[in-house]
Amino acid sequence: MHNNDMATHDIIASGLSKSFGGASPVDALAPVDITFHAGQTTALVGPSGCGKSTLLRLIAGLETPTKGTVMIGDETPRDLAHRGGIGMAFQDASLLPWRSVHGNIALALQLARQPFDAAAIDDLIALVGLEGFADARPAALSGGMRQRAAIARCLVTSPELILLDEPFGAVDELTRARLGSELPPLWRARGTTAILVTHSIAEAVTLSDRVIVLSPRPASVIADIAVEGRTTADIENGMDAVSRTLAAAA
Amino acid sequence: MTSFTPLTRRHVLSTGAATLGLGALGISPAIAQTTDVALQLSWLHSVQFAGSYIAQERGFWRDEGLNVALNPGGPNAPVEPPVVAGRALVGISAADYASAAVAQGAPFKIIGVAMKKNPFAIASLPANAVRTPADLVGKRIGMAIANTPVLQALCTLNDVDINDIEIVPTQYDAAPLLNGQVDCLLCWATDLPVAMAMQGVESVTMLMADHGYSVHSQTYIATIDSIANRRSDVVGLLRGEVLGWAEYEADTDAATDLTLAMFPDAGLDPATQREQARRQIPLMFPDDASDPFGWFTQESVAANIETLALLGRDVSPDLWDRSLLEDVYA
Amino acid sequence: MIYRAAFPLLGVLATITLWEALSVLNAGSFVIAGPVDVALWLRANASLVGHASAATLSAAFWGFVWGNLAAGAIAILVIVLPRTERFISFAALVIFCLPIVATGPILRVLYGTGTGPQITLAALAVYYTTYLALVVGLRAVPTGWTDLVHLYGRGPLTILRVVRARACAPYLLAGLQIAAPAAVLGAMVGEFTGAERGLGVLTLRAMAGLDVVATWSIAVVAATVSILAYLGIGALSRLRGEGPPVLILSTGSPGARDPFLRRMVEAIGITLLLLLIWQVAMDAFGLSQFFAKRPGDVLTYLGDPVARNTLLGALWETLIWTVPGYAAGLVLGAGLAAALTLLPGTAGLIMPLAVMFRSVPIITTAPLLVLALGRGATGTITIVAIMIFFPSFVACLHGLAQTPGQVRDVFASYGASRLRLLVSAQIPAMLPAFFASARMAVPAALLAVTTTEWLATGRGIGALMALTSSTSDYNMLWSAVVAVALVAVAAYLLVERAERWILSSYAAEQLA
Ligand SMILES: Nc1ncnc2c1ncn2[C@@H]1O[C@H](COP(=O)(O)OP(=O)(O)OP(=O)(O)O)[C@@H](O)[C@H]1O
Ligand SMILES: [Mg+2]
Repeated sequence: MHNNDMATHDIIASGLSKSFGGASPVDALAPVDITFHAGQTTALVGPSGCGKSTLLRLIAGLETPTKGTVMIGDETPRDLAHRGGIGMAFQDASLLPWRSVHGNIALALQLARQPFDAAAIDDLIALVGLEGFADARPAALSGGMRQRAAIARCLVTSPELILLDEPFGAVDELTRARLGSELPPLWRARGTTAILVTHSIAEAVTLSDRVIVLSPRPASVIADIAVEGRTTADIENGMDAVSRTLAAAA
Repeated sequence: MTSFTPLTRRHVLSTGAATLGLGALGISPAIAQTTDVALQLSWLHSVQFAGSYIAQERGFWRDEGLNVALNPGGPNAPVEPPVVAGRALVGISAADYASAAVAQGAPFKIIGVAMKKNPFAIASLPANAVRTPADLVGKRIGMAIANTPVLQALCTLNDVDINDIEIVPTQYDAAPLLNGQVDCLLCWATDLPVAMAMQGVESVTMLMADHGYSVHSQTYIATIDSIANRRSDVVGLLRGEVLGWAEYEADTDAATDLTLAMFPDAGLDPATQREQARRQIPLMFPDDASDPFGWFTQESVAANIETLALLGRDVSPDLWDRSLLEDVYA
Repeated sequence: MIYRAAFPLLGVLATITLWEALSVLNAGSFVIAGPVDVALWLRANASLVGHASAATLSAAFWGFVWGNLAAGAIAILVIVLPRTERFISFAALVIFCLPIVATGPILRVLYGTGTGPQITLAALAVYYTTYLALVVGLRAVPTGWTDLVHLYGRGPLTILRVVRARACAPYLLAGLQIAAPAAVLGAMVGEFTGAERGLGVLTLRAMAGLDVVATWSIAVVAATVSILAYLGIGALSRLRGEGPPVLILSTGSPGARDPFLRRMVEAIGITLLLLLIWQVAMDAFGLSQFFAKRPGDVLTYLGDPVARNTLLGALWETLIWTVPGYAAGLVLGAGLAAALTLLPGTAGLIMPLAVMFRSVPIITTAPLLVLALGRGATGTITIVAIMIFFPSFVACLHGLAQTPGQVRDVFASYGASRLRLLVSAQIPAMLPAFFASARMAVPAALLAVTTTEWLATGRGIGALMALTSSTSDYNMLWSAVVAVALVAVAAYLLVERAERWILSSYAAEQLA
C-alpha cells in the first residue's frame, strides 16, 4: 500500500497565517514559515491559546489559511487527506459515542477506504493499553483512555503524516512514559512524519527530533531546537534550551 | 375517470348481441360487458341507503350492464366534488346543498328525489312537547348556528317570531336535551329521536315538512355532461335504485338485515337500524303522495323553490330534470 | 428503587379510580363512561373493535411510515443544501397547517375509494414534528466528528451517512414518540372522508347514537394504542442505549438575523413560490375549479368586502380563544414541569397521566369537553390548552434536566435551596426548550381549535370552513385556508422573535 511507504516529502508551511473572522477578528497564527522534515518527529510547544491546534488543523487541511500555503511535495493537505495519508489525534479525542473502541478505530479504516483488519486493530488496542475495553463505548472510558483510543485510531491507517494534539494530556505519568517509549518507535519504523503538540517540555524533548517553540497568540516561531542524540545529557540540554526560550517569551 | 370506451363498446356489443339473437339464447348482454360507475353516498353506510344495497345484492344494476360502487360519505366528505370531478356518476345530495353548489358554478341537475319529505324535525320530550311551530315560542332550542336559516324559514312559514325562541348552540347530539340544557332540538327525524328511543327515552318529533318546510332531501344529482353523454348509464343506475327501494318499502326488516350483513364492521346497532329503516318510510313514501319512488311533481318543485327562497337561495325550476326518471318509468 | 418503580403504576391506578368516580358522579348525563362499563363494552364488542382497530392502525402505520420517510427526505435535503431550509421550513409549516376540512375532500377526489386519504392524512399529521426533530438532530454534531471525516478527505455525504444519520437517532426517536399518537388521530380523521370501517367510523356512529360507553371505549382503544407506541419507541431508545430521551430543540429559522430588507425579499419570494406550487399542483392533477380553487380565485373573492368581513370576523372569533388557550397550555406545561422538579419523584406519577391525556384523540375529547365545560370560552380554551400542554411539559422537563451537573454542584456547595436553584439556574436552562415547544405548539393550537369548532362548538373559522364545504362555497373555504396558514406563519415568527429577544438576555450561548 502506498501509504505504508516512507514519507518522502517535507511539509512546507510558507507565509502561513490564520485569523478567525467575525466582528472582531482573532489572529490565531501570525505568518509562519516552517519546514517539517519527512520522517522526523517535531514537537510544537507554546503557551495555551497561542495557535498550536490551529497550525495542526491547517496542516491537516481542516482549516483554510487566511494567507500562505501548506504543501507536501506537490500535494496540498486535501490531496494527501484524500488518499488517506493523514492521521490525527484530536485534543478532545472526538470518538463517536455509539461506536465501541474497536468500532471507532475500524471507522478510520473505513473512511480511508482501507480493508478491515481486525488483527491490526487488536494489536493497536493492546499497544495503547486498552485490552479488555475493545467493546466498551467511549462513555464508559476515562478521559485518558479515550485519548489512547484516539491515538490508536490515528495510527491504524498507517498514514504518512500523523498529527497529535496533546495526545497524552489526560494520561497518567506511568502510562504516559510507557506510551512515550513504545509509540514513537512504531511510527519512526514506518518512516512516518509526525507533528506533536504538547505542554510537557520533557515529553517534547524525549519524543521528538526537534522542538519548535511558539510565541503567545498570534503564534510565531521563536525557537527551533534540534534534539540530536538520545542520551540523558542531550535531553537535559534540550529541556534547558526550551524552558529558557519559553520563559524569555513570557 | 371511467372512460367512454367501454361504454360505446358495451353498446356495440349489446346491440350486436341482440342482432345476433344471443339475447334469445339467454346470454344477457350485461354478462358480455359491464361499465364501472360509482354512486357517492352522503354519509357512512347505514340503512339510510339500504335500497341501494338491495339493488346491488339483487343484481338490479348488473342487469343494466352496470357495476356500481357505493362510496361512503362522512362528515368530511362533501358529495359534490367527486361528482363534479367525475369520480362518481351520481351523488346523493339535497335540494338546498345542490342549489348552493349550482350557485357556485357546479353543473348539476336533480334527477330524482329519494326523500320527498325533508327529514328535519324538532325533537322534544313529552313533558314539555313541541307539537306545532307555535309551541316553539318561549322555548330553548338546541341546534347548530349554521342551521339558523332553517329555523327562520320554518318561523316565516308559520308566522312565528324567531326572536321568541332562544337558540342555544349545540353540537349534533341529544345529550343537551336529556340534560335539560335545552327544551328541544333541531335534528333529523331519523337519527337523534331514534338514538333517544334506543336509550329508552321517548320523544316527540315534529316533522318540519308537515309545516310547510319543503326541501327535497336525499336527492340524486348528476352533472349536465353525464346526463347528456352517459344518459343510459344514469338511467340504468336510477332504475336499479327504483327497484331496490321498492323492495325496501316492502320489507324494511329484510333491508336492515342485508345492511347489517353487508357492513359487519360498520358498528351498526341492529335495533337502531331497524327503527331508523321504519322511520324513513313515511319520508320516502308519504301517504299523501301516490307517486312512485324518486318521482317529484311540479307542485313540489314550486314549493321547494319557495322554501329555498326563504333560505336565501334563488333557484330556478330547471335545477330539476325529471326526464331520466320518465325514461325509467316509461 | 421500588418506591420509584411503583409511582407510574400508582399514577395509572389513580387515574382509573378518578375516572370511575367521575363517571359515577356524572351518571345519566351522557358525558362520561367509567372504566368498568368500558371494559364490559370492549369485551362484548371485541371482534368489531378488532376489525376497526386493524383498519385504522394499518392506515396509521403506513401514514407513520410515509410521513416519517418524507420528513427524513426533506430534513436531509435541508442538511445537504442549507440554502433550501427557509423555503422548506415554511412550506412544511404551511402544509402542516392546512385544515383537514379542506384537504379531506380533495384527497378523497384524488384517491377515489380506498384508504389513500386516511394514510395521507396520517402522514401529514406526523411529518412536521419529525422533520423539526430530525433537522435539529442531524445538525447536533460536534465539529470534532465532522473533522474526523474531513481528515480522510471525505465529504458531506459521508458525514451524513457515518455521523449525522446515527447522531440524530435519539432526536428521531423522540420525534417518533410525538408522531405516534398523531398518526392514529390522522387516520381516524381520514375516515371522515368516507370509509367503511375503522375507529373513526365507530366514533362517529357512537357519538351520533348517543352511545357514551362506545365513544369512551373507542377513545380508550385509540389512547392505549398511542400510549403503547409511545412506550414502545421509548423502550427502543433505551434498548439502543440512547440514554434519556433528548430534548427537541428546534433551531429557529435560519437567517433570522439577516437585514430586514433581505428577509422581506426572501419572504415575498417564498410566498410567490408557494402560490406557484399551489396553482401548478391543482392544474397538474386536473382538479376542477369548482372545489379546487386557485390563488387567483381567492384573491378575486377577497376583493369583496362582505366576504372579507365574514372571514375576518370568524378568524377573530377563533383567535380570541385560541391565544389564551395557547398561553395557558404553555404556562401549565412549564409550570407543572417546574413544580415537579421541586417535588422530585412525582414525575413518575404525572407522566402516565399526561401521556394518557394527550393520547385520547381530540375528535373524542373535543365534543365531550365542550359538553362538560360549555361552548363558551372555557371549553375551547381548555381543549387548546390540553393539546398544547403535553409537548411543552415534556420539553420543559427535559430542559430543566439539562442544567449542567457542575452548576448544580456549585449551588449545592453554597447551600442554596431547591427553589433558588430552579429560579437562577434551571429555568434559564429550560428556556430554549420552552421556546422550541412554543413554536411547535403554534400549528397544534390551530389544529385543536379548528377541529373543536368544526366538531363541537360550531363557531369561528373551523365552523365556517365546515359550513362552506357543505354549501360548496369553496371560495370562502380556500380563503379561510389561506387565512389559517397566514396566522400560523405570523404566530410562528412572533414566537421566534420573542425567543430571540428573551434568550439574548438569559441564555445568550444558545444563540450560536
Ligand atoms: N473556530 C475558531 N473561531 C474563533 N477563534 C478561534 C477558533 N479556533 C481557535 N480560535 C482562537 O484562536 C486562538 C488559538 O487557538 P488554538 O486552539 O489554536 O490554541 P492552542 O494553542 O491549541 O491552545 P491550547 O494549548 O490551550 O490548546 C485562540 O485565541 C482561540 O480563541
Ligand atoms: Mg489546542
